[in-house]
Amino acid sequence: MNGEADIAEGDDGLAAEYVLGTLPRIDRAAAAARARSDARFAARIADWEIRLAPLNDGFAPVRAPRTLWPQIETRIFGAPAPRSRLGRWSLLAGLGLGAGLAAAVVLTVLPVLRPIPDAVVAELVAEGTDLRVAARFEPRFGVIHVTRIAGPAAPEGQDYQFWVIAEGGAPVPLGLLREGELAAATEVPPGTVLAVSLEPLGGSPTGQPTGPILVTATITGS
Amino acid sequence: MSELRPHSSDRQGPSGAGTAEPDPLAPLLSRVASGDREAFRQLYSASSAKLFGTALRMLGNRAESEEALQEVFVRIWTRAHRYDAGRARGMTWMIAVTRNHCIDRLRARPAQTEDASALETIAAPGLSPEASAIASSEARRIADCFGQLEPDRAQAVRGAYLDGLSYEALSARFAVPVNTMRSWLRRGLMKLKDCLEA
Repeated sequence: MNGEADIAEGDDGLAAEYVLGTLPRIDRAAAAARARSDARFAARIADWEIRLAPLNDGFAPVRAPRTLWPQIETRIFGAPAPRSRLGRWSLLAGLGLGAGLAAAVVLTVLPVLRPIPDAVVAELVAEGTDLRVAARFEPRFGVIHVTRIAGPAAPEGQDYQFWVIAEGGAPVPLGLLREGELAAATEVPPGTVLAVSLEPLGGSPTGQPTGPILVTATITGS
Repeated sequence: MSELRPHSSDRQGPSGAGTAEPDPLAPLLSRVASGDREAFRQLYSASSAKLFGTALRMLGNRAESEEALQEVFVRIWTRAHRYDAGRARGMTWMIAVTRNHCIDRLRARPAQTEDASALETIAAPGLSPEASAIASSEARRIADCFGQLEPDRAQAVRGAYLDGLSYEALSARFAVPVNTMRSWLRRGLMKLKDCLEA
């Protein structure tokens, strides 16, 4: 071998070939295994990924089929995110529908997922009202369950509406709080405010609270 | 399901920070790393078309590309904590995840079918369509550096990167022994690196 070839030898050449994708299967698997334990080699690979990134212009975007996202959600979370305003029972019915398939898929995926934190529980209260509302968020499903546990039902011709307000964000309506439990898909990272407002029957016509905010809770910690 | 940005601006220097251009996908990835499902949905909307196009070009098969994209997004969800925003743009990282998975699939195929779709997709020597579409200064720089490679070697690098061609498929395409092809590509890549870092 001449000098020019020698320059191309070594780890950097191997990292480049790994990124280019040309290594035979066994060599490729060995390089991937090494990258997991050898941080310097992994950094060489990352450098080549960035160096060759302008070639990514050659990949023309193609719209993915609409069915793909629900399938991804099912693989990761066990069920696609339900639309808001679903009652608990219709949510459970929806989960039951594909239970066989979902269970089979989840079993293979779960071991690689990060540990899922425990449920987040909050009670929405305020000075000057007997109304108390309990909220329980299940990270496993990304679903919050909300129940009125004390105080009067909404006056005739009006509804209690439940809102989630992300830190620095606008209130997002998640459903009406009537008898029984409300369940809706959401996320509640620390700093999120949960709120119940009094609205016209059927909920706010504007998508934002129009009546008084009656009770609130702020999610703290993680 | 729209592209947030033309991918041509999707680059930072290998040594770190690079351009100050905002990267809308980086904050989404960091939220995904903390388990934020809504951020994951937004990330999918912003990137799925590009990643699906990547899988389609490499795998040349729609049904397999759909399977691959599912797997890619499962990996993005589980590995988002490994993404380093100080190092690479979000799209660069996600395309690397996608290409890696597609290459694993290609290398697992029986040798016979490996290059079936490849022969038509390698452009004739000369400026490829993507090269003429390149816009950003970084992309122009790599195009200039490609211009310094011998044309068939530059085509071999593109064929490997974009179409996932193996050494065997490339050596058949360019009618050179496998070892020669390997040496072409290694030297070509090192020459590219020197040129980019000059």
